[in-house]
Amino acid sequence: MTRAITALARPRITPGMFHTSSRVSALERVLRPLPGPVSEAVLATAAIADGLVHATRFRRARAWAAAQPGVGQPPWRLALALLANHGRFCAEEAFLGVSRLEDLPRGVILEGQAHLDVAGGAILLGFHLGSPQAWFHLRALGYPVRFAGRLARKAGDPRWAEALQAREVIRLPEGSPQERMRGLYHIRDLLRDGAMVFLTADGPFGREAFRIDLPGGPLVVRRGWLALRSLTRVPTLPVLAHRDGRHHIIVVHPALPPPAVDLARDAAQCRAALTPLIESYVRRFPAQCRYLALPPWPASPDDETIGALDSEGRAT
Amino acid sequence: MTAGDPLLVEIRDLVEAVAGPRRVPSHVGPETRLSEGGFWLDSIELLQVVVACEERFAIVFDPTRELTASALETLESLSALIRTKGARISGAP
Repeated sequence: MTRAITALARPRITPGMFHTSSRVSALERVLRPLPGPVSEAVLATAAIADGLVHATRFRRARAWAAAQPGVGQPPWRLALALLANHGRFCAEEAFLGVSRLEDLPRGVILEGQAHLDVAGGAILLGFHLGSPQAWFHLRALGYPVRFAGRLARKAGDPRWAEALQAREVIRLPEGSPQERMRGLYHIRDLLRDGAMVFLTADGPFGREAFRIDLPGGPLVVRRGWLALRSLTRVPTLPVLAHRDGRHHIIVVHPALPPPAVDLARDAAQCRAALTPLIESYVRRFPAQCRYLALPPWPASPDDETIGALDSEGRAT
Repeated sequence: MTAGDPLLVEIRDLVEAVAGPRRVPSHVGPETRLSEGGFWLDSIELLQVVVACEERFAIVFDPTRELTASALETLESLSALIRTKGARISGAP
């Protein structure tokens, strides 16, 4: 841990540099000086109100909730909890109420940290489930984690340019595949040079690699991280985060099996390894699965998959 | 189309291997685009092509200065970039 903190002797990214959605940013000036729990409560209430005003949103959440087996509460209640957590997580994304990096580790519990002590580079594989910004919490704990993806950065903050220049973060912008390719190339170099890079497996971009079938709808896994692990052969550590009251729990799971030479077979073995982790997460924390219940992106922007996987996830 | 240019032929073969047979246009020429309107390579596939070119031609790209949108636009533009790197081409005399 000490070594990791030393490696980040000069943190370039601070909580105040993050931007959030346009709706929240309208309130940001008011909310940012308030204590974090107050901001979260305001946005949780606003998210519930928004879900009830836009009834389709509530109905979608309720339909997803109704599909969850054995949650022990009526679907409407789980739907409201989903909406409230969406508001809380929006506050977390923008680090509302957190002014100093040093304050962030309070309330963060890291499980499986031994898995982070890997030799050489590693892909930390995150998901759009539960508490957001796990990569940044890991940085605040002293781990030299870099982030690659869409950046929720405040426009005009020059510190982002410095962080990008230093490859503390790597932008994978929407649009031009050539531009995104440059970002992926940098990630490949970082991984080969021994860096830990946090990537998300699911989300709006990239072709579909495979689906993890879940009650209420699938989690669609994209291909980017699979290609990078194939090119670099670094370990891939799944990272899942959730809230437990005021605590953020970040769980680093054991590495996925080493990459198979064949991409389709690798996708199949990763699917087999990830499925029980995700199923267990959804079963334990259904109210924190906002993007499964209310996915803000199309499930599948195209139909291309790596090879074909049968219902058991075997490459065919 | 590329019969007279061994570098273009090698790059085309690499691109076709990444794109797969379903996405190879019926007419492939130097001007065939790598992404939209041609082989429809996405960012991951472009990376696979770039890495394959580095290995095949024993070169290393400077991603910031060399892997520009214009350099990765067509078979010909990629070929021109690789040529400037002094690539080793198996079919060359």
